[in-house]
Amino acid sequence: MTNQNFRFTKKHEWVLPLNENRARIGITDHAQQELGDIVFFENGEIGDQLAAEDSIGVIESVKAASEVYSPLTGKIVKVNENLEDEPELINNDPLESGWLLEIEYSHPEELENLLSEADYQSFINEGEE
Amino acid sequence: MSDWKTLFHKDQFRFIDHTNSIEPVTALDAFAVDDALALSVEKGASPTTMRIWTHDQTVVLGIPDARLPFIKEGVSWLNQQGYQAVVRNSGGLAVVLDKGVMNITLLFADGNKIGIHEGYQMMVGFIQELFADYTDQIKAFEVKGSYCPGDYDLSIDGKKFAGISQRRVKNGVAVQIYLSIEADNQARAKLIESFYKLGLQGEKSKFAYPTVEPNTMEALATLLNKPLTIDFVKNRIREKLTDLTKELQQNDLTAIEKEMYQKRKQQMIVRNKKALGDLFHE
Repeated sequence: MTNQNFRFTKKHEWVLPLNENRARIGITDHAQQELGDIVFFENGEIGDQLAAEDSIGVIESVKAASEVYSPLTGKIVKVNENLEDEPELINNDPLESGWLLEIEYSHPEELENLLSEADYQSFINEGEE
Repeated sequence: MSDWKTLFHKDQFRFIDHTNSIEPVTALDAFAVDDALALSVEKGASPTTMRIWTHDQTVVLGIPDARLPFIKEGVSWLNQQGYQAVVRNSGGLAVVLDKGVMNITLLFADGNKIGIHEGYQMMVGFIQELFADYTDQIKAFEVKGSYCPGDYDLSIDGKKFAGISQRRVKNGVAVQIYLSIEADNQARAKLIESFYKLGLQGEKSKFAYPTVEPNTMEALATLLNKPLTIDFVKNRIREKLTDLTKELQQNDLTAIEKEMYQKRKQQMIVRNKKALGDLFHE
């Protein structure tokens, strides 16, 4: 069971609100398993303004390169610099030390559109049936 | 979606031949075009699409290659040999493109329903079908000692002639394969072997770069003992698509796709500048 504040998208990103206007973003365990060994995260730049569903970077694994999207409108304010030398953190600990970046979000109501952990698990299970 | 042919049996299918066109100019442009098409397919603005393309004297690098301890020496040497270096956006490691190598991109939607493995299987199925008159021995498994090794290396008798990568943009998927049709694939492998020797210079690195053994690779023409050419394979692809699909459209990029291509090209330029610094030339 993860922190109850985590929210998820159907594109397999997670969002963890850190305070009323800042949130951390990463990819889910399901996503990292699908991608396989991750070799690189090409992140967006600090200061980049994003609309919800804009690209925030590209994750490259030994199998494929996939764009990652911002679940929220806002501005990139921090990137996980540890991923530069240790991209495998995304595989090893996707919900904690493998986070991707933090954004200052401007439309908190968008959080309401995201999935709870239970709803996300149901969504994954439907796809696997 | 277990049968790869399902993808080709849609009501409409699109074929784009860029093997003889002036644009895309470089391999960098080619990857931007595939991004634009992946987005177009994803939005439903284009049916499932196959694009074929070639680029002469190019070494396409992966991001890990750009972190070789002596990347400058490696790329400078490639330039001296007459090869342009481009960092691609679809994962993987260094591969050689030239006039004897055909690239095929398969672009389809529903990436949320079609997994990475299935995406690869679709390309494998098509290539096996494409050459089914000549051989039933095309196998997909990692060929150790080849350049850019991966689970979806295509080989005959253990000699690799093709490799596949995959890029996912929203729910659009681009599966890209290079097919070394014309000889000399061992010469291509020797080029990459030398590139890694120069790029590593014996230093240990965190990333495991391949130790290339040229005798693990061979051109398809050599493996099949047939005088295969790019033009011959191009025609064969067109014939095969005509057989497989219900309605085959043949056209070029739309105005909207060209606009998206320009945006994606800028992203590719940024990526290449970041990865290669002064070694990158637009």
